[in-house]
Amino acid sequence: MNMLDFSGVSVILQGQPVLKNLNFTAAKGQFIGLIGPNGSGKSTLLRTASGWIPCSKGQIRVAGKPLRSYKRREIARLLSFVPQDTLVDFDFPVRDIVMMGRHPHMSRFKEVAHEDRLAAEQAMVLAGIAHLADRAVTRLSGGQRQMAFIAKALAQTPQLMLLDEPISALDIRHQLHVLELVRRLADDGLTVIAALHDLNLAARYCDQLILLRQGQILGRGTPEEVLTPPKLLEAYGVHVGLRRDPWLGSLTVTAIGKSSADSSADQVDLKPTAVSMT
Amino acid sequence: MVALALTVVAASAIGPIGIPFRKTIAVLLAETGLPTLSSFSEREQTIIAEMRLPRVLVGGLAGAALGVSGGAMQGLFRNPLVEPGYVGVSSGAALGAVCALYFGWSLLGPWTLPLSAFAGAALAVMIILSVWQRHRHKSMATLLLLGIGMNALLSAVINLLLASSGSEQELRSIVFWLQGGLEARTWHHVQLIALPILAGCLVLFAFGRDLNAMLLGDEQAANAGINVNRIRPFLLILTSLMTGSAVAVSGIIGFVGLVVPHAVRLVTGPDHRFLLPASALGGAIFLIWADLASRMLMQPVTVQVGVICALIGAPLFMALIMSSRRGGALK
Repeated sequence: MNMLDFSGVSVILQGQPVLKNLNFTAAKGQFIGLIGPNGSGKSTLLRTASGWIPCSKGQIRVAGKPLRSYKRREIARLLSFVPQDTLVDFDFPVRDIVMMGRHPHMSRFKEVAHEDRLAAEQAMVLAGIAHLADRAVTRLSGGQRQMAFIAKALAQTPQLMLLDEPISALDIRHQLHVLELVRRLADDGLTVIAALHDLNLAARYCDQLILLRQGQILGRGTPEEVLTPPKLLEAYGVHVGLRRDPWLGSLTVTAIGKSSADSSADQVDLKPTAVSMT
Repeated sequence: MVALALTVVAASAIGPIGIPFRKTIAVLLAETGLPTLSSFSEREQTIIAEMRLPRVLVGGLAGAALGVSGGAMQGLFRNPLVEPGYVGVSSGAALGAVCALYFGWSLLGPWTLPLSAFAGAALAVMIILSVWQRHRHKSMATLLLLGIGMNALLSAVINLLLASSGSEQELRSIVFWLQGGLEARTWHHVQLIALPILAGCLVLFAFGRDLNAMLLGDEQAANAGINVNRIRPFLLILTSLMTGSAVAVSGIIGFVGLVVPHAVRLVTGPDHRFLLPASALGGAIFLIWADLASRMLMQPVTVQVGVICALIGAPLFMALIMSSRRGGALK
């Protein structure tokens, strides 16, 4: 069964088209990497899939049913979202933050159930932050905070998890930790869609990649199918070299250089007014 | 709870005519139908049960409403400088009350003044919220600014009425109401506000986890299954009605809704499941003691309790800001 199904989805934000006629599916247990240059619509795609941004055209289905037919609480039991910016201003202990992931499973008038506590503890163990459970979230490092929010998303016990650039702010050890964890969860049946900037790590861990450029899907398929020099030149305006990594055997991308000035100018999101001025 | 009980006993015992604590407790127990330990005179019974207790209870209820509403609103706005009056409740109530005094409705019966104050509060909040709902972004900053605008407008109207007030007596009663006071409150007033405030508190307590999740931002709250666009207006209306009930019988009492939840947060942390009940208790205790101080400090002159609250509250607030390692930010 497809956990997520975009058919003909377009999104318009403040009069500007941000996503244009997207079609793709994510099957159960798939780990899909969302790649593309800054401003290509990766975050918008994830937020549209989570139901936070409404789509202007087309239909999104989650676990076979239209996203719009779910109540907020129902969708929160199926799907969790890890935001890119996880700065927290309030000194909640990590355990409380993770417990917030249990919110859609808890009743307003009942005490916290044992299974909720258990799910939160397990999520913290999986994320490797059980030892930080009592620490104030404001006193964590960026990497630890990211793991706390991943633990919160795991405590939600979703079937579909969306992550917005989960590793961009992390050191290489934490990057591997997050991606290995996500890979393991996907192998156990969780469907994951993550926006990633690191093409090599994306190629190494993801089953499928979706390459976005200016709100459109430029390529979709296995890393080998998507990471081709012509596609990456078109998407990023960068000439790349491809090879197999000698230690891992995975596809490795080397950015060689920017393309000539005028084609890289295509990458800049020119507003209509700016165009008419030139 | 123990502190609140002691506060009620102390505030009932202390007054121009002092009554021993033992006898006060006996009267209070008798009033609630429990067996008493010692005897008391009829005069003592009248003073406590008919004069002091209703005043203390009105103070406690109003304080609880202001404290808990302040705590909830600071969470809703993610801003520690918000007090329940910010969305127009207090100035709306003030205008309602001033109208009642100005046009003489208050002479029609004991209920008209609090009811028109409450109507003013409700009306002001409804106007603010419906204007806000029309705005494209519906951000909390927009709401806050609209509230500030509304407060300025209503204060101007009140000043207009004050300036054109006919008699010295009328002017005096308006100014007194605006300063907030609890003198001569009766069981009528207790009956009027007990249900909305106590029920409102219980409902608010049930939303502690939602408020916690909303502290992480609207999107995170939505992803946790919270219907932010429905829950937030609901909680705003609820806290406004509770504040409106409190203000309707006590007049404008500043600083309780600002200082109490702020001080409580330093002890309990940001978790609304503890913060809200503690703010309700803290608000009740603070206002009862402030009222006691207003009765006793400058005898025989009675200072309005709103003045005392600001006198104690303002320096306390500044001290809290200076001593808090986070510079007073909710952050």
